[in-house]
Amino acid sequence: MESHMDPDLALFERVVQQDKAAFRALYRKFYQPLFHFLIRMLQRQDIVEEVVDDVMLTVWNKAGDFRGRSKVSTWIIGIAYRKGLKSYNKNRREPGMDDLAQHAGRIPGAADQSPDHSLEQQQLAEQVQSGLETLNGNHRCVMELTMLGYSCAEIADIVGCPVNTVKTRMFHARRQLKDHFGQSESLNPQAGGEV
Amino acid sequence: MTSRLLGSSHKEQFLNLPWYVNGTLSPDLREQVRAHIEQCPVCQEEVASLKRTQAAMTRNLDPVEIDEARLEHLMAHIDQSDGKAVKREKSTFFFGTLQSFIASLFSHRLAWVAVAPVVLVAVLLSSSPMIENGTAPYKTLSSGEQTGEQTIRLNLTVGETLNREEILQSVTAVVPGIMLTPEANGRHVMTLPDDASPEQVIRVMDKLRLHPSVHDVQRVNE
Repeated sequence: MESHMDPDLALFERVVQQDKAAFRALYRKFYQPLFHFLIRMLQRQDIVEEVVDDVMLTVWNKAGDFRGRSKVSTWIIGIAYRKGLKSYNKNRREPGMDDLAQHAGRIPGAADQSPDHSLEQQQLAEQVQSGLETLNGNHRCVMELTMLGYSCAEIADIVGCPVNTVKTRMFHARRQLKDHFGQSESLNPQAGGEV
Repeated sequence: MTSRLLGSSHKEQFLNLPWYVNGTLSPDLREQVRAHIEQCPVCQEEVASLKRTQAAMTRNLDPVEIDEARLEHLMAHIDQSDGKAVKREKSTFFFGTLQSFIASLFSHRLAWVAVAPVVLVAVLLSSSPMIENGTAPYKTLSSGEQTGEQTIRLNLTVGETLNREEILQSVTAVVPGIMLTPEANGRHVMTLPDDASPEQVIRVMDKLRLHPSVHDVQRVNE
């Protein structure tokens, strides 16, 4: 129970009491994190907006089921993870869902490239994006969540697997990314991931 | 032995590096990993690589504007759902309780030992012909009229040597769940389940007409 250190718990408790003003506040607070998490998985802004609404509707309807075993944000991202995967599997055959490289650098919600961004940084971003596309959904989610700042235990809660599985998935994701980059100068995986 | 221990430690620390980089390790673990990195060139390179990857993955994320119209639409949907939820509450209570019960069965394996005989008896009862006190989906004549469906009733004129069990056995082979009720005037009324097909009704009537104890069969609600 991390209630004493969960900054969202007070607001969420009001949502449990079906306080709509609190729900609006929660929606505003989580819209951006959810959007950033889902846009990388789903690629299309229109789909992401729908999934975010669906996630928040589930939060409203299921708030009473929250048992406080994880942080509120972990619980909400967990819902987003499941709904995102479902939407991804449903829409993956549609144009624009698969070719991540095609979208690299112009993901909705991503910053436009300002002149001071170097070409090298831009290329690196595109390499990472295209590398992520080679990962399977589970590996990719673990990678995304880690890079978004979630702890290993939180990710285990979100994706519903043991902590060691998270570490293993992350290890395989990193190795696959390195394979994708090959001898790329920018990421330069000289160590080769040998452990 | 020492190298194996070192190798094991390296593997453990290597697996923790992504969370060392994103700053979510506990202070103790963070210190362990940091101490290892200081003496491990492979992990040093991995940390650098992870930092570059993280920077590449997060640098482009802009603040996102909330679409107020979408939020209002969602709130309107919630307002609408609240109205329906009140009506649904009573009906979902039973299913919610049932769901919790089933979930508890899966979480406590021993509970199956207690529940299995009950389930077995219930299955046996439900599979037996429900003749007199069964729970087949009957509707009364009046409820059939209300819903537009017709309850299938047959008036039987029978002889004095009527063997009810024998008659029922012959017709329930055609349609399970038939009821046979004696009436005050010496006649009997046979009620068929609503879902009996016209062909099944005809077969039942044929069987009754051929039965030696049955003198006449009339369908009440043609």
